[in-house]
Amino acid sequence: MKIEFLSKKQKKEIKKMLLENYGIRIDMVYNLIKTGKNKIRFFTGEISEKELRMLNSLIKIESIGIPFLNLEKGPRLAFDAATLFGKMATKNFLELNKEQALRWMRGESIESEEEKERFLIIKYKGYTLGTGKIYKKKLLNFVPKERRTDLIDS
Amino acid sequence: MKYEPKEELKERIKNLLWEEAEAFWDFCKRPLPNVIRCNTLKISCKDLKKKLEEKWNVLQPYELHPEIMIIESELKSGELGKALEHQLGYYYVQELASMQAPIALQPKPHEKVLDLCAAPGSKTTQIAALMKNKGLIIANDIKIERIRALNSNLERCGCTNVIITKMRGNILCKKLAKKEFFFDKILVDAPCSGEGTIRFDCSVLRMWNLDMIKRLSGLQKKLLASAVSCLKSGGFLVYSTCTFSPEENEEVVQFALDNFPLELVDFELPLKARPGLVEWQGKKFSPEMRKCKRIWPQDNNTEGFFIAKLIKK
Repeated sequence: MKIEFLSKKQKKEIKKMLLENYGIRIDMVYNLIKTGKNKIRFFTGEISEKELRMLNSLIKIESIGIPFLNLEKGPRLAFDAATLFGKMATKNFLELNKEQALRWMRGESIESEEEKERFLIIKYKGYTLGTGKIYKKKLLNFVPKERRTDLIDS
Repeated sequence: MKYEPKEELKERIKNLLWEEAEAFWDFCKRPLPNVIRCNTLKISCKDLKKKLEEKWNVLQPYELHPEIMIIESELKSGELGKALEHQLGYYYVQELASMQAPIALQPKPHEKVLDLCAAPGSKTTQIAALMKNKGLIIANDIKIERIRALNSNLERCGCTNVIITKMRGNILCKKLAKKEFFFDKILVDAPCSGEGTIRFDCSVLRMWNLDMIKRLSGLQKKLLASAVSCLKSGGFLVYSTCTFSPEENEEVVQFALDNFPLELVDFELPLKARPGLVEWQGKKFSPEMRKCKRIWPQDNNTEGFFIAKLIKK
């Protein structure tokens, strides 16, 4: 597996990006790992970079930490990272009503009045439902297939 | 039950339980209770209970383990696994007996833990929660489709301190030991004949045979032996299976005691458990084997499980 540790400077930039975009403050004492173009994973495992490189050359690593950010066209928090950190968001979030939340969790994109292209953290009754993107008066859906459901309430 | 147990299995269960064998087979016909484990990496037990009580009747039967919740309401098929709180990783649908192996292991934050046969990840996610995402877990399995499920569950539950590897367990341990990469704690939840899972899937009765038990016993010994090689001195190893056959349980533990610097240790569980066997079909095991725990369905309304906890001298 291709593993590239982000430098202190790169981590600082991502910390700033999250704070500016969503108001999310995450201490970057942990490792951010780049595994593909623009794809960043969040890893709190206590292992040195040297040891991890040794492991990676020795054994078949399938995965490390969890998907965190996709930096292509802006900082999009991965669905499972959003459900972990999204409650800290103080800006650029959108609260859905029940009908919208149901459609959202089914994987549908939702009409929007807004035009400004940007990423938003999606919320519903205290739950964080991932991240969406406003694009051409639509809130584009990024809920992964395996997280979709139509059971959002009793 | 869709499948009937073979006479040979009935006889073996009778030799293990005697007059209680009938109660065991009676329990095997009953559906399992709906049990979930709160994922404390994402939500507190108190907050999850409050949310779930808006739709279900939720019990927390174990004072020291508030994360264990039983849903008493009648549920539609698949409802627990499709509910929003599940999709967001707030809980894991996990059988009560299966939760006992990580409880026995007692992983702590900042420790280095190996989960040798990890997929689909119920115990790995539980270990990560007990470690509060601090320290390191190496979660290994061999089949790619099982790794996919493991990966998805770890991501859903926000387990950020895990490295997933795909290798034969014995080869992985050999390579790690060679590089002196040792662990504080190791879970070997070994592949087994699954006699304890009849309530969940009675097709195990159709596949059950003595040759399979013999073959699995060999594999289990190999896995346990290799795991010992990458355990620190003073480190703990939990060996568990979801089966009752002594060839896959006490016999495997006896093999480890005879060949490696290991001792069995006592441990507490929230469930009623019976001691390990000291004899089976004329074969004698160490008296220390009583420290192992056998969990029977009829004792706690669960599946069946075997757990041994060992320390490396």
